[in-house]
Amino acid sequence: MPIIDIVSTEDIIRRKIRKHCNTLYVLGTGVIALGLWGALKVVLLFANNPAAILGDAIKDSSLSNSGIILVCVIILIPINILLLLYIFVGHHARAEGKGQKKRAFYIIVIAFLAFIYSVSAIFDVFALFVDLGDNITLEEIIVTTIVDTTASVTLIELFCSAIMIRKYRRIINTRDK
Amino acid sequence: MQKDFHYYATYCAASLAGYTHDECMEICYSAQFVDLCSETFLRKIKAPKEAATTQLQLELMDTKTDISGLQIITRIWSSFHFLPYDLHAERKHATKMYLDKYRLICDTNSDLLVETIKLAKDKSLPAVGLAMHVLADTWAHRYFAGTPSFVINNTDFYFYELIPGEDGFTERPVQFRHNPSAPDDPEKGIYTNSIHQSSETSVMNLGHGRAGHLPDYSYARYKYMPAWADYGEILKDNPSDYMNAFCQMIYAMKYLRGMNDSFEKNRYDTETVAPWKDEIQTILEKRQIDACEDWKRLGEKISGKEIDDFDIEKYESEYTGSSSKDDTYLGRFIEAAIAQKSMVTYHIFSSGNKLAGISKIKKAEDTDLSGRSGKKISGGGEDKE
Amino acid sequence: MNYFQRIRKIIAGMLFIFAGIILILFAEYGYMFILLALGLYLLVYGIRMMLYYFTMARLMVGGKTILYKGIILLDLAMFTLSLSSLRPTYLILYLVGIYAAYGVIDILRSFEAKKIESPEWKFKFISGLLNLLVAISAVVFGLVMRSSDIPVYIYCVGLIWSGVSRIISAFRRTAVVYIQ
Repeated sequence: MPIIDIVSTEDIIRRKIRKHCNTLYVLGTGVIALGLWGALKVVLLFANNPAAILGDAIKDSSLSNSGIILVCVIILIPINILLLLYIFVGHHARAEGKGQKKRAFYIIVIAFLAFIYSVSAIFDVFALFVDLGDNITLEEIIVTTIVDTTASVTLIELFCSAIMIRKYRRIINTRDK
Repeated sequence: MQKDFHYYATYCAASLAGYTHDECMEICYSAQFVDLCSETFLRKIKAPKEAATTQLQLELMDTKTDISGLQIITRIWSSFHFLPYDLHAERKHATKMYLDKYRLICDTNSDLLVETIKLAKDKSLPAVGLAMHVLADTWAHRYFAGTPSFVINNTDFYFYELIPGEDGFTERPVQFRHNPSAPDDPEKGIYTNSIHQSSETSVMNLGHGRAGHLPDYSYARYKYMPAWADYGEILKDNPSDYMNAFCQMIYAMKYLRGMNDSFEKNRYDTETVAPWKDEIQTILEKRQIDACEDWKRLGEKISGKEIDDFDIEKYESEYTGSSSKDDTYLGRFIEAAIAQKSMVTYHIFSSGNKLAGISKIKKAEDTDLSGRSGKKISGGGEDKE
Repeated sequence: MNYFQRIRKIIAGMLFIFAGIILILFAEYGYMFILLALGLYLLVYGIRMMLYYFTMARLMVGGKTILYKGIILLDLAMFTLSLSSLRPTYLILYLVGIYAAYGVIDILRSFEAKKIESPEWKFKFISGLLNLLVAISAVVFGLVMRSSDIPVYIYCVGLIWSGVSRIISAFRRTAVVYIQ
């Protein structure tokens, strides 16, 4: 189909920039959706079976109600921080995908999140073969493994796309000079 | 394309190709009629529905989007409005399912276009008009496919209009909305398009719906990433494309009149157009949704005769009241439409692609249009779903 | 809507009514049945999305959206199917949540229908609003009356209403924008 002829190296590079921008936009949206869904699932799992997250602490009857509430709040804080990080990363990725210039700080956050989820996914895989008692069921581990793996792959791809865009834009700018 | 080009510009081209005023009127009527000859209209005049060259919105709504429904849609739109460029196009790592749709992408100067023009040779004036419609649409509708396909026809936010200015062109993002009651606003760059539907076979993904009417506006220059182009960018320059369409129509009609021995791809009669080029360019570049008035004025200047406004009922009574329908204007149009549909469907089927259905016969030489008598209609009528 | 889509809507409506009746009559098994049906539906939808991605959409600009839709749907399906250990109260909260989501989607679609001046926007809006109100009242009544039965009955009424509204909308004329 002689529609678009690739005439020069610059055309190839510009095409790759467009591809990565599109990836950023799509994955940025995906990251926000994953973050919201992940947070919701943790809340649901916690509401149903607090022991799955709090472990033996919840079984200790010496803990007062206010103590339990405090523990809950302490658990919820990192969940909220993670959710905000997801939204931050997703928003910046979408904006950069649409052509706006964004600072590189969000790429560092992507790398941090990707590392956390990669480690979590590895631990989830080990958890499939280890008896964690009655606190958490096998189905919950499988679902968590899938989610963490998906999240880590998404974040790694997002990280790579953000880096490649900067690399290719630098090449274009050098050529223009 | 719209009435301004299919009716009035085709009149201008026919006049410049040497046809008389009356012949030009028959040709341009037929060219515009391709956009209106729906099953509903044919049912009204008791004509064979196989001759339908378009589908109205309500007809599209009621067409099933299962295999047979999709084949009906593809047969009509690929044959008359989105003539496929390369039925044997290849793409790396693509499945057969994908390739079938990829191969229906429309573009100019295809082998099928040559077949279309040759099919109209030594045929009636309505056949000439129909061929001109198909030719013109290959320029306006290039890069889209005449089959519902999300993976081929979708567009996204990467869509910029190039506005001419003193220092060249400025890029302005196109704003699409889904509001049929509000007209397109070229000044603000706000256009209506079809709703985003990620279902592969949704009729929202038929043709250039996702790009709105931009391909049909002669003034529009825009760049976007077609869904199939692997992030390649296309610059669509409608003024240039429409000028080529106009020049190619004159070249084609001169061939059909017998002034040229052959019709070849990539040939344009710029010589005949030269004295009128500036006027035509002005019309094409003018930022207006409807250029009918301008084209009509030019046509009347070229021919020196008054051009009647298009009237869909012009030939109805001749057809409905005649005992020999094949000899009527609409009868000849119907014959041409069935022949065109047969030809294109046959070629699509022969390439191993069943999206337009199964085609048993090669040519519609034995076409019998007497649908009323119950005789079998060869050509499009025997195409099996 | 074409005839094929109308028939599908009628069948879906009848299934909703059937599910509502089942849940009222066999409450203790009803949850499992509905969760299984919902989970299987999401699983099939997710697999279809993934197949679509690998056969067609991976060659498309922005095709990754389809992949991630498929992954999220599969994840949702697996999550739904794994909810057998969930207490009934939280099961019904999950189902009510999905029901509320449908209500919100219906309301958003009604706004889109209003934009294209489709006459069905009013019906869609009322239908979506009712779905949302049913979901909210199921939760509120459950908390106020401290009963897990009342939310179930409200949810069942909502399911039956959803089924009826689907059947009604299958007979309505729709107007959509196509570009020719």
